[in-house]
Amino acid sequence: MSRYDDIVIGAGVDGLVAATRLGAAGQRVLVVDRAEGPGGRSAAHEFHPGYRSPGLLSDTAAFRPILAKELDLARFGVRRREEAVRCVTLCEDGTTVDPETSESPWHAWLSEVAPVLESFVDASPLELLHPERASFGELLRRGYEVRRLGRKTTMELLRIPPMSISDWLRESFDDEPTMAALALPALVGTWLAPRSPGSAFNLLFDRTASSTQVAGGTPALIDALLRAATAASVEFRYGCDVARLRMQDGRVTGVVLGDGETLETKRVAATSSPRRMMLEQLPPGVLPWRQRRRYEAYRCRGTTAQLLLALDRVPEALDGVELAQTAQSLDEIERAFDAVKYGAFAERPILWIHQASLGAPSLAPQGGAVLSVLVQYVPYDLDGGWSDAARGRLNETVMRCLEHRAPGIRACVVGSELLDPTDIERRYGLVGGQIHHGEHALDQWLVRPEPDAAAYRTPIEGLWLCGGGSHPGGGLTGAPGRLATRRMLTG
Amino acid sequence: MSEHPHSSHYDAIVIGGGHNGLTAAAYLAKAGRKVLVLERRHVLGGAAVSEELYPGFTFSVCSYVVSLLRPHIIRELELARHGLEIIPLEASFLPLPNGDSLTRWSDPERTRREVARFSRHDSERLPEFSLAMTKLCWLAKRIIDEPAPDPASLAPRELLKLLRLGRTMKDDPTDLRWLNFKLLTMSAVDFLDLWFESDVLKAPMSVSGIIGTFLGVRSPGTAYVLLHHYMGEIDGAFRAWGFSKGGTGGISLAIANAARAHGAEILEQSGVERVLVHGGKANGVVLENGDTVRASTVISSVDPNRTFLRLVGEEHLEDEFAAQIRRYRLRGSSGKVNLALDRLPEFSCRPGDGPHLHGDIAIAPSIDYLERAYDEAKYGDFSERPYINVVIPSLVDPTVAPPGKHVMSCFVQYAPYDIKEGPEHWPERREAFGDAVVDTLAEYIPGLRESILYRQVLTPWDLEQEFGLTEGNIFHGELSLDQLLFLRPAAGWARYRTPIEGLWVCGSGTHPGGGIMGAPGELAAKTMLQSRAL
Repeated sequence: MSRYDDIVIGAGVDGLVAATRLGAAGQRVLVVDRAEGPGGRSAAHEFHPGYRSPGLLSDTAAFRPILAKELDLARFGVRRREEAVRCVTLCEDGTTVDPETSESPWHAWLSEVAPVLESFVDASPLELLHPERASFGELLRRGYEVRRLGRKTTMELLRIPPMSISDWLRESFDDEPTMAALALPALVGTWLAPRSPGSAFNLLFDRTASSTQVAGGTPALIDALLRAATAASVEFRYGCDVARLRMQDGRVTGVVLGDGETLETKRVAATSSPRRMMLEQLPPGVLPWRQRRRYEAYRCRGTTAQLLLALDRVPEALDGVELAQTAQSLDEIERAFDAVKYGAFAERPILWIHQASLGAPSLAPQGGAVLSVLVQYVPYDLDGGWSDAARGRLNETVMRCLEHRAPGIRACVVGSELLDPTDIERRYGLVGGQIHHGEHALDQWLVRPEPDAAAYRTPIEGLWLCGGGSHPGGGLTGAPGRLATRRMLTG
Repeated sequence: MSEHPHSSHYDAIVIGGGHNGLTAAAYLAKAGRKVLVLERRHVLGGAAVSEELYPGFTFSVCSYVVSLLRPHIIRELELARHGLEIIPLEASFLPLPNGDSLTRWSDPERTRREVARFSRHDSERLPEFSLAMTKLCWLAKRIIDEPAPDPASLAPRELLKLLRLGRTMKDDPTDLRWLNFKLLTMSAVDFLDLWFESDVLKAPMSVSGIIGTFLGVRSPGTAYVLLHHYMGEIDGAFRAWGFSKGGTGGISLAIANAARAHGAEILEQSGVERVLVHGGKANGVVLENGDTVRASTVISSVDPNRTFLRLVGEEHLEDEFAAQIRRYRLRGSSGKVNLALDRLPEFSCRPGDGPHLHGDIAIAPSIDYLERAYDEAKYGDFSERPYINVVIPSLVDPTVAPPGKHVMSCFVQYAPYDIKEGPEHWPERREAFGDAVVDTLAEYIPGLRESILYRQVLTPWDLEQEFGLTEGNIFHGELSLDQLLFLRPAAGWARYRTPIEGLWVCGSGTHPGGGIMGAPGELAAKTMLQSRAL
């Protein structure tokens, strides 16, 4: 008999959510993670004495409010902030532009449709390519929900997703810094630029699926989730990499760790990248070639690097600025993207800056600050490969750009760490250095990761996918973990 | 203003003598309606036109190859009897800068051998790819041969129609559904990556995804146009493209002949100045010469922007509809260079005449080359090294050039309408653009410059001024998912009807879109007849 009912691979937000829900339902659950502690992509680590990183994904605004309720996270200390922190544009002339201050018809329209779209994020995916699996009543209900917004809005909701951000925003705005500030957060981590068709869906998602940040940031969120899991009797083992799954008679019976140890289980819920799980961690020959091809086609091109900065004081331009980005026009983002197509990083990269220590003071010593800078666009497959010299060049490029926006920042830096996409792949186990467990692009969003596994259950008996590589994607939502386990528990 | 002498006895007036206007007219005339077609230029055909630009040299001035003309239209209008003759293309030739070349033949086996020189892997995947594409075509055909479905309608008939479309998918295996879905959403390059590894094969294949769009081969949403290469049906054979004898205008003339045979009247040099709207109802048109022609039905085959914002006028439109038409994107991205040559062009990689030249010739040496051409255009320049698609119809159709001489027709992308100086400055940059094209070609055909007798350069600005294509868009509006099906040209107005009673649209700016298909004209006419609009 197996020792466990479920083994959850990965102790990130989705893994913790999944484990807690399974544990609370009475399953014997073990979470295994290759890292030395919980958090996954949002794990904190000390990158300079006294300074801790908020993780690769550090903005908690996307965490689903419904989860806090269902897991009773208030009991474990999760509180949302009163107001959402929105990304502002840091201009070269020292001014900042806040896109939210302009009351536009665009914003008004979004708030009208947001509740309906949010309900899609909190519901199981519509299996678009397996409509025969959906209940007719469910389809009708969802259709009705959208149609209730009116014929005109329905048409708009069908029209916008395949558009580009640039085309969509230009219908309502003509102010470049505002458009850039709206666009960039939706493009971080993607292989898309403002002119790429389908990027409007990213923006639509970014705007409707985010709420206010969790007080205390990622450290507080991970800590609370960990305590919730422990309360649900979930066991943890860190520092053990899963080499492959063990299978018998066509079904999963356990996981084999890197050191050869086998852990028996009835089911496996994997939050790892789908490509890693399905192409590398299954015993050879198990996956039919047609499905294999679909995972191979699942695009995971990383475009992001992270620069962590430990500051002993905050330069004036960043004083009180929690989230900022540096693009002043859509074309500036577009040009930065052009470079990755040819295997180079942008000479003028676009920076998404999170002063994480403002929301989570524990990350930095008194008076100091921790900045997490996500750098767009930086290719995984850099021409000539990633080397210390290449990293040095990137570091200098980013610092020069920062110095323009926040003069004097160089003098404040006491420590730093740069992760290029290959570092990100190694540290977090993210295939291709893709920070979302697979690119966020219209096709990979609507059917994620492939039709036969689009509702978490894979054709491999006993294997479930419940990470960012599944609906509704790889942000810090916790939604894949929640929705997958809902299916696992109802059979 | 004087009344047209024949006024008031027409059932319908068709604005524009392009192939779609003519097709609509032919179908209506065939059903016994009295139809008048009004064409602004001195020749029929719109963008599907042949003109003797220089003595002895006849050019397909704009559109230059044909593949999508719906076979049932050819049958129903008996176009063969009315002079339509298609000469199939034999090959697709790709010269390479390193002195090599790739030729894809209409014979798949021959293509396979040729591709194997570059990649054995790719040559082995070719049959599988062709099979998949052929299967994918069936869904596309179901969509382009019917009026657009309306997903927001609550009418049972519409819901049933959607359900039926969903049902047709039910029998497809998962893999085919998945490919269908990917085809609609992916970039051409990503889609081809599913099968192929070789840049030399993928580059010329991917370009069919960008023709006429302001997108690059790596932009999502460009994959589905790849189907067009497989949907062309001539005599029922998939994958065939062809020249029309006497140039592309031959197609328009054949349709015009069919229309006339059924009693339609067609007038050239009769540009329409505006549509007469009275009490929310269209009841005739005013010509550029001041004449008025009345009819209870007016059908416009010109693009939606021109139809509604210029011919009708915003004062007759509701704000919301006008806003939809204003945001309808046209931005042309291509130009055309027509060359009259005193001898056959000699490609340095494969000199002399040969069947490899009896088709289209693509300057598309790599994916990065194409993508860089797009990047230049994004910021308001024409590509210094553009994608060029060349045909030399005089090799297979001796009627278009004097003996021993040749016509060379070059489709060029990217040439953005909105260059950074402003579109009205295109005339000053026209020759520089033409030079960029000739310079690019001369890298493959060293003696080209010396052999040019005449050169015509058409920029997007010229396409707008001369052919009435707003912003020079060859498809009457971008063929992007948000402007197709029930959204073309405006949400809820995809069934050829317009908010102005008595005014209908039948051009490429309506479902199913641009290219020499004839489908918009045919579907519009059939819809009108069915709904007893006239």
